[in-house]
Amino acid sequence: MPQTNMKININGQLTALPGGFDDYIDPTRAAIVELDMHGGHLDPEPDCPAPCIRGREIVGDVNRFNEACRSLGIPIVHIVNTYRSGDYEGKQSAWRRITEGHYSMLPGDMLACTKNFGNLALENTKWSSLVVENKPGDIVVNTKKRVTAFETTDLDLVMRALGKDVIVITGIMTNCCDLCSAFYAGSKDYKVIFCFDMTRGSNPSDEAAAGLMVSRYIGLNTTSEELLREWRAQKAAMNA
Amino acid sequence: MPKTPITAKFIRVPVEGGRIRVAPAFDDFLDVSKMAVLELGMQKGNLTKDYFPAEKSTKLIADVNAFNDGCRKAGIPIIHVGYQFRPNGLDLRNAQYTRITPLSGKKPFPNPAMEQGSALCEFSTEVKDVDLRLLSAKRHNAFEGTDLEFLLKVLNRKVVILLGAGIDCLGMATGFCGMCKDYKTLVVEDLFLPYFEDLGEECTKACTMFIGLVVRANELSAEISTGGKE
Repeated sequence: MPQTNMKININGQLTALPGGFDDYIDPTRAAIVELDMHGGHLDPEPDCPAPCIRGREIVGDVNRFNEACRSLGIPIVHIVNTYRSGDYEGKQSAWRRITEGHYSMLPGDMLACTKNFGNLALENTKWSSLVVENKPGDIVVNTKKRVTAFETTDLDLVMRALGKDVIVITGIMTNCCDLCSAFYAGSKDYKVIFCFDMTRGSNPSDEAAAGLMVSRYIGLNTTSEELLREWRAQKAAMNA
Repeated sequence: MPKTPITAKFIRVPVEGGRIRVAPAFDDFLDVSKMAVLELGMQKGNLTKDYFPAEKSTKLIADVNAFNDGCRKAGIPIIHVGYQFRPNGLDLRNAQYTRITPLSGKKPFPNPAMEQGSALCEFSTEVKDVDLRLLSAKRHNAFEGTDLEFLLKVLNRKVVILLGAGIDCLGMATGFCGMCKDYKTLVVEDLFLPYFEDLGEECTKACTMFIGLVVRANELSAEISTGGKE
């Protein structure tokens, strides 16, 4: 039973959460699944392999959100793309193939934009190291090789071990790894909450489209403020 | 090398016409001997106004049939992917889309729904003897809970051609999953309509960036008819 007038985004408008979604907003069922907040995308240096410039905006916010979740007893699962060495594990990833392929056919030196892709997520480098805080009790899943958090990882096992069936997606990129993982989670019958302001993607328009897809087919699209307010109220009611 | 001037949609930087020649960087995406068609959601239950209203996709039926025919002639297997749920609602008990999609104003996906033996499970497109039916899909992602990956393996197919109904849900979910499994993906943009019209362009855009090549049916058919090889 909601304890606040929690709002979710429906068709681009913040709207009161209808009845019937108590299972989604139950903090005892939730885990944060935070994607790819690592140096391979977020390092500020010019040799950052695949920069997500908009993602750098939310590092502090994600840290604060995670801290608030920890205080509520909600586990944080950091998903980290990691490749062993060289670029053979990542070379065939579709996003990379189509980016390199397309750029190779354009005039000028567009391919230069992709020259550091091979360094993305190399293990034991800053390109696969978290740039957000990883605190005791957090869980790191660092065998992600493709854009989903599920394929080649033990995320499903971790969620079962934690006894959690609500996945709260944060991190980057909204319109790629976040959206893909949300589709995966939805088809695996997880209840998905897309914590929209704790994500960033290519640009605001593509982020909004991803949020729209989530809200129409996968789960609830809301904000950290709405979610934390509701969770805190539920915790307070439990402790009263 | 492709024998035809086949193009793919490209949105990363402005190019004339918004499209770019597929050759030569994507030769492996056009290997006809590795292709399989994944036709998603073209079932009566999905395309019937009174049941689950994706009826706009009915206008694609003739074009999908023609495209599939060309593929069959080239030896490309057609896999018709659809739902066929167990009786009494078990398969949809934990499904989210019966709850989530109605929030945005669509008619709720019914439950019980499209049960075994129902005419609603029949495909609206032509299913020929050589085709393959995959009726174990229960969720948006055609790989989840099905033997699709096994089927593609035994067929020795690495390139999937996506078309059908619901690019914004079935297409995105299956496309993302296929690319994560390293299938080369071709999305036939004019044979794949969204359930929500405002998401069609956004989906093809996302596909061009992350999932695969977004191509036109006539161009892909022409390339396939050549056998795809010099």
